[in-house]
Amino acid sequence: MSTFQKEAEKEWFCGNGTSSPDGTGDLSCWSYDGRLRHGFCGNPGQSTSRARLSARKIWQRRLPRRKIMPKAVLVDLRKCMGCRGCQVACKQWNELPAVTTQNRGTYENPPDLSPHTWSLVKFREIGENGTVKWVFSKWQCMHCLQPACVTVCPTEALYKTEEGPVLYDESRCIGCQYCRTACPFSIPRFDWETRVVRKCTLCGDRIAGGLEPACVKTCPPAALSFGKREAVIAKANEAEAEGAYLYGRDEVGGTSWIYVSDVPFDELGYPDVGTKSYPSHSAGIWGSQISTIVVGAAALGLYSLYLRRKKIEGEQR
Amino acid sequence: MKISNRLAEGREFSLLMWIAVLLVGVVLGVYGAYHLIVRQEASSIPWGLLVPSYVFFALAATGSSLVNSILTVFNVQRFKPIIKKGILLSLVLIVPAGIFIILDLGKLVSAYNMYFLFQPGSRMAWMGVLYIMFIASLILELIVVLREEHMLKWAPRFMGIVVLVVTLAVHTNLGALFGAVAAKPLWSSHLLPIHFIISATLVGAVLHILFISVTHLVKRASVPSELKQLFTDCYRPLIIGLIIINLVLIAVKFIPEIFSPEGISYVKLMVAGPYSGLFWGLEIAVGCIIPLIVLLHRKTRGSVRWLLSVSPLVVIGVYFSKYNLLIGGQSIGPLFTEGFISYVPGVADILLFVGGIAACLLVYTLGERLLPVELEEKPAWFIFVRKRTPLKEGA
Repeated sequence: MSTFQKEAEKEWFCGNGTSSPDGTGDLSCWSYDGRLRHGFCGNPGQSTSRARLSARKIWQRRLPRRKIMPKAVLVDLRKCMGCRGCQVACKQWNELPAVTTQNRGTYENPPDLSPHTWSLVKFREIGENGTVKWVFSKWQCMHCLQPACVTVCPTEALYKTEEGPVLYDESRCIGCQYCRTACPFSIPRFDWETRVVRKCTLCGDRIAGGLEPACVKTCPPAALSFGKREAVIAKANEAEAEGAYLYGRDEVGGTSWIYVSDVPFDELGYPDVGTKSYPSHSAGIWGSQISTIVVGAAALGLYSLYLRRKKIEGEQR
Repeated sequence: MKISNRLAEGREFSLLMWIAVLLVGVVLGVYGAYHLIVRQEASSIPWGLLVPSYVFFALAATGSSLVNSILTVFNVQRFKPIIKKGILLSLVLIVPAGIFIILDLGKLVSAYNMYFLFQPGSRMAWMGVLYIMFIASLILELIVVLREEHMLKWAPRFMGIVVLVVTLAVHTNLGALFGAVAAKPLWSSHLLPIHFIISATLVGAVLHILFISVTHLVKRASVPSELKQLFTDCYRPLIIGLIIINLVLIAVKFIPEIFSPEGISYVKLMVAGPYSGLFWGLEIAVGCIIPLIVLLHRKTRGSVRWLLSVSPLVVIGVYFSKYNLLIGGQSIGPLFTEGFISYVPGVADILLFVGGIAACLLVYTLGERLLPVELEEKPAWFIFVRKRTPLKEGA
């Protein structure tokens, strides 16, 4: 445990942003002992996201004065054994409830991401040399470098952090669901009961405290590894030089999840989203908008001119 | 009792009955809204019936405004008899658009965040701002036009230009809101802002014809010959041209998608899949082909009755073109759903849709009664009339 984390255990932070060693405060109080916890001062808390946001801002101010490097996760599907410990760890850390499903004759469970399932392992059967082999793939928010969901959100409820995670502030959300339609990987899920968007947070709270995401920590065969994005890409490039396929390094301008596989990714169901980021795609439409305004006004003017000439000709006749 | 008095009483009774019917529709809409907000039923796709309905009415409002600009900006005086009704119509059509889009928000209580936490990079944030500007400029334009005698000479033209610029900005922004979403191949296109403007002007023109003609018929007065001439000489060629451009844009949109791995699935969805009935039947045949045939055929092209009869078909065609675009565009499943996502509008959505249309017609009816929208009428107090001048029988 780092000195920083040891220090964290001694201090309490209230949702209003002030430190309070004796735990007093009129809002929820948080302790960082590896995870944000509520309730030591005994006061009822405000919304979870607000308190976490406040605590997170405090942590950012207290980090040593160096540039925050973006992080990434390397997912080596060649090592994944489909234990789904990552699914369980995600549920446990984020306190997500179980989801009732049905037996569909497959080991995949649940069948889809949902507001209560942020990480999912899919099972694919691939034919190879006359036999069938299983390939397991992990699905979650890709935490893109230039996220479409962040760009389209009208209130900045979704925001990109310097470390890499794309996080969500539900107090800002208006429930327009534009993020759901804009995401090229169709990740955000809307909770129709609480009217908020839910998705993987890349354990932003753990990363802020210098820890690795829960799924990475729990992975038995070390198929998941976490570190600076540059180092993760270097490892991925080495694997590519050996003949492996990569996904996530260049897609939509780059993501924080870099996949390595010995099976092509289109066979595993990963979508071909291209390498152009949403902001660069969207930028091209501005030109179309402006030209439409000019052309539209000009077309109306030309039609009006035609009508006036038609009337004059009619009168002359 | 004089015949004219009996006729007047008959008209008043019809009007009261009409308002009563519309109020029933509004009540149904309120019930639908309550159901939507309180019951919180999940939908299989993010944007359901309310969003294409909002887009349609936004199209109609801005399209009506674009047609109005032929007089207000480009000074084609032949449109003078309809300009007041045209501006009223633009304002009235934005009412259901606003109702639908606000009630579609998942978290209505936080809707104000859109203005206080404004994100300049988000087209949805701009949508909120531009629509406020659109409504405000329309209200000002209506006041200026109704009180033209009391205004500076350049005021109507100035407001016309302002409204035209804001209208084009609003509607191209709406087109780009969908066109910029690369994740949906059916939406993703630089041509979508242009397509939206074409659809808007088309539906605005036909709604002018519909509302003005039906208003006269409801008041048991025939459409004046001046208006009939306006519809056949000015509106008809505009509608024909816009339908043709619409068909060209649909073809230009779909043909390249055939060669794209992801796009082909959307093309199949529309052309040969679950949406083929709506696409070929309503969007193309009813909305484009039949009206084109009627408006070009030598026996029917000069008839206002035929023009009036195909106008509802065009409205239906444009509505379903937006329905197919928005709902169909979300129907190809996310990563984990195999194949096609089926969507059926909920009862609450349908009731709200009915209520929105009723609210629109109610506001138009009241506006017609309270405002001096006939050419010869002048306001008695501010912009309102005190006493309605009855239309002459058989005028």
